[in-house]
Amino acid sequence: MKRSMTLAWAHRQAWSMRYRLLGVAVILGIAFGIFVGVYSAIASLYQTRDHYYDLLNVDDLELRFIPTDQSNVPNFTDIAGVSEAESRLVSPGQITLADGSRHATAVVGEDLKHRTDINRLQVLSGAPLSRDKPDAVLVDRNFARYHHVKPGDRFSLAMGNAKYSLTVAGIALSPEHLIAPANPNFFVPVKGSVGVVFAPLKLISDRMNFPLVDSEVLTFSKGADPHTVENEVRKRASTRLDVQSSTLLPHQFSYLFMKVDLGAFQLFVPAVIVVFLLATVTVGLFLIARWIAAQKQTLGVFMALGFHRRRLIAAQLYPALLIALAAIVVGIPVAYLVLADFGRSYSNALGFPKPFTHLDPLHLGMGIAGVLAIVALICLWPLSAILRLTPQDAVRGDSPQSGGRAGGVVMRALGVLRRWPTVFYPLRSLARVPGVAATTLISVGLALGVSLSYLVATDSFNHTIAQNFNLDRWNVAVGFLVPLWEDELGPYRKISGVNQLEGYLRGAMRAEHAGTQQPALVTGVPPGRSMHHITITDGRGLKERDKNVILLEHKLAHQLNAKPGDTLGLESQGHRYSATVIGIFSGTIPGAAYAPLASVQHWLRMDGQVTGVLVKTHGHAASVAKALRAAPRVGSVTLKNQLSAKVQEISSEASSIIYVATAFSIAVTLIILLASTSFTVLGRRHEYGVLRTLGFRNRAVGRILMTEVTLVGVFGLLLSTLFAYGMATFLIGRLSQAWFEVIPSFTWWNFALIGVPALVLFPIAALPSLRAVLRTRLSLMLRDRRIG
Amino acid sequence: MSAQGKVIEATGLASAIRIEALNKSYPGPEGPQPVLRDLSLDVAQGESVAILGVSGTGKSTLLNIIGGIDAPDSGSVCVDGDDIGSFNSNRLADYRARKVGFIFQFYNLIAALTAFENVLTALQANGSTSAADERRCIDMLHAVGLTEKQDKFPSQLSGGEQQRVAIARALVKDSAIVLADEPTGNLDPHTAETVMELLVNVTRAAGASLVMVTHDPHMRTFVDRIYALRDGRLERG
Repeated sequence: MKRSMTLAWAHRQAWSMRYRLLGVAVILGIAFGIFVGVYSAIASLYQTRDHYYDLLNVDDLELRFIPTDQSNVPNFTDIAGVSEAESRLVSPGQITLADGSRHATAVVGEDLKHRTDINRLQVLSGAPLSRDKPDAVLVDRNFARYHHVKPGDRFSLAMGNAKYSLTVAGIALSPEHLIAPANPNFFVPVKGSVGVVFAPLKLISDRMNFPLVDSEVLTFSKGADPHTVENEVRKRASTRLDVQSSTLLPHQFSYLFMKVDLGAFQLFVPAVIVVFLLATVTVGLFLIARWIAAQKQTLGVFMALGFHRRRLIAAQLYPALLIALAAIVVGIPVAYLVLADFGRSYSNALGFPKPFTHLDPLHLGMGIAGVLAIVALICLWPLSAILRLTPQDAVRGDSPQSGGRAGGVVMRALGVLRRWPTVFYPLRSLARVPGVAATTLISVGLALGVSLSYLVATDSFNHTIAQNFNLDRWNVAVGFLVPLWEDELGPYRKISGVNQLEGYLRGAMRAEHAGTQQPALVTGVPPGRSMHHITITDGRGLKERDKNVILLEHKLAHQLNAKPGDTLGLESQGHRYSATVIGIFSGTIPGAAYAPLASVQHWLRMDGQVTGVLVKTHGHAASVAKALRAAPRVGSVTLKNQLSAKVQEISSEASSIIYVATAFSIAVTLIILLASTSFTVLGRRHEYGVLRTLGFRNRAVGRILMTEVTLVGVFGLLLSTLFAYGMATFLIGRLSQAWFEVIPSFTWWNFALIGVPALVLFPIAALPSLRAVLRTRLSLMLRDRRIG
Repeated sequence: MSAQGKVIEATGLASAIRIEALNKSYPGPEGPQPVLRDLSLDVAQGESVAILGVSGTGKSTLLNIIGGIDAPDSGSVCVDGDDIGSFNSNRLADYRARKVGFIFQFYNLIAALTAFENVLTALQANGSTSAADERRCIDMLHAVGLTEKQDKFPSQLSGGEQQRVAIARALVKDSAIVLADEPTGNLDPHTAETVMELLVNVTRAAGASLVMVTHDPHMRTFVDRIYALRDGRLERG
């Protein structure tokens, strides 16, 4: 009998507060949905990647060497751990499409005679490669989609000094290029600007009279240690080949970019969730605590009647369970929304195949467990405080004069405003229960602060990208098809619109420090006067006369455990060098390093040569770019503003999560305002009834109520700037760790974007409570009696 | 003397309150439950009237209707010559602000305000107040014997003291009528008697009419006339 009575009472209580409790459930559900959605999206993307890797048998290792006759390539299949091996040619080129547009390309010459299963091409439309048709090629799907290339189209290809007239046999998906190929100058997938053409090796060997290869791809046996096998392969290769680099699968562009980018999300998203959860738990605790406090006297009566505390806790767990269930029901569609949106927009931005999206069971389980834990915490904590009281103390209810001496001083000080009831009454009501008022302000401040901190973090991120590009003094970056001598750059300097031209040399090396080896992409630039800006975060930048020194990108430095002052070992083509680390920089390219041009030329044994130039233009950069594309031996031409836009587009994936979280946090703010005004106003409905009885018109009562809500909103908004500062600093720190050094940027615009709608929302949030106060029959409002 | 439910002749003074053929019912599980049936009442200016009845007879309903807090199903209520049945919500609010003083069983003071501020609130219905208004409040608190307690909050006052604040609040605005709903229902007998004496004296001194509802028959000694409310009708007691 007792059990069913407490349960019936708890059920009735929960039903009477259903909208407010639903508000708590919605807030929790949103946090749950974002958590599960984002992590499921990340898991889905990885699973999709792995699916295609398995399906198309991606290589585990690629060896690059100086081009040679295929017959010179040693056999690798007898090395322990090697499953298959295949030689091929990978060469830069330039495509000219039928519309006259020119695009950089990477040509992959496939040896169809000795074709293995490695890096199998999935032909999406058209026909596969054929030995009988050496000039019929396959084009990668991203390039084809972006430039509307279809089977049967014809185009010309420039490779080295040779030109080819080719036909598109089909469009293909390659496991090496699951995302759009990178701009060779920057670690950024750029849809459509770099194409990949798969051609029969015969196409090139026919002109050379021998099969020329410069790449060997290998797959490993299950269980083989990749580094051990790699070392053996390199050893074998170096007996007959001039090895330039070896790249294990985890360091290949597609894999690496996704790992770095999604890894960055995995580093950043918890920060977003933590900030969101902080507001959610605080607000949930506040709302539930007020709900339970409203039942304090009833709980005291039950205790006085002899109901055991255990039964009261159990009865209260029933609405807690309902809140949790409602949160999960709300959260699952939110999770699907976030999953679909993030998964789709990420894959669109990167040219990734459509991912198989599904909610990840692990994170779904974690989310559900989290919801249950949070609900248990926010329900049981305030309840336990009440149940620790004696029945009499619980029945007595709230002490009206809380806040101690300070509260009393404030209460009395406010008396100077007593002639103006519109302002006096709300301020007094807030000061009367300072704990509740403070918690309300903190909740509003946190909710708004979360939104504000997200906006500040996103703006800082985008602002840093723009600023970094602005600090670069070049407008156009050019990559050559083949390395050029520095004294061959004259004709390029003479192109109309070229103001300044600076050569750079980029090549792959292996860096070693403290027993750790990592691949590094080293770029040599003129020290102390390069047009490329490098954001130094530790140590110093390059100075004129620097020699055998190196700057490391912060993630590479972390992997090598290297800091300014350390000596780094460098290996290229079997030769070893050393360089002193003079600085750490913040950059987007993993494994990037900068050194004086002369030093890099020496290390790569390319003295006097450059692989590209940075160009400063006067006039229209686009027309200069066009002229450069038409120049001989030019492979890729990149405009700085297009690259900046591309980086921002990709970074918008980070922003999209933030914008989703911001939108939800604003919704959370509205729910908090609705719920807290509801508790505050409806909890004092009786007092508003007294005012109406005394002759206060509806408008006067409305003004008092709106003033109180607006005061809470305004103070909460001011408080939010403090919270936002702290949370934004935390988020920016994580962004810097995940991607690159982000410069905090707090602007009035961010504040206005949150503050102005919030100031509009506050009075709107009070409307339901106001309607309830004004429409309830006065006689009913005055009947509200206290127990005892 | 009149028959049951008929208007009682006035004492010759002008009517402060004139109620004619008042009907009020509330929804019940078996249809509308009448609470007041064809009720009529006439209260002269300065007169004090007590209405006795057990719980649930409709005493508070009658008071609420006179005070403009509730509306009858039919009938008329004229206070100071105005038929309040024709008033919209704003006019009713003004009516309560200017002409009616309420005193409740559970005081209905605003917890966040001191005794003085609770009294002052009664003058703020139409906007801000002045120094003169504040002086009136102090005078009224003095009249009810609470000068030293004017800065106390309701939680710091005894039940009797809270009711005295409520009396001061009801009378500070020169109300034409004072409506008291079980004003001593929550007080011990000794305090109840003290409060009643105060209520009647202060009301009389202000020239206001007092209508009080109570279940305590001892209250008859404090008022000019007494009625019993039975079956929704008034019977002279």
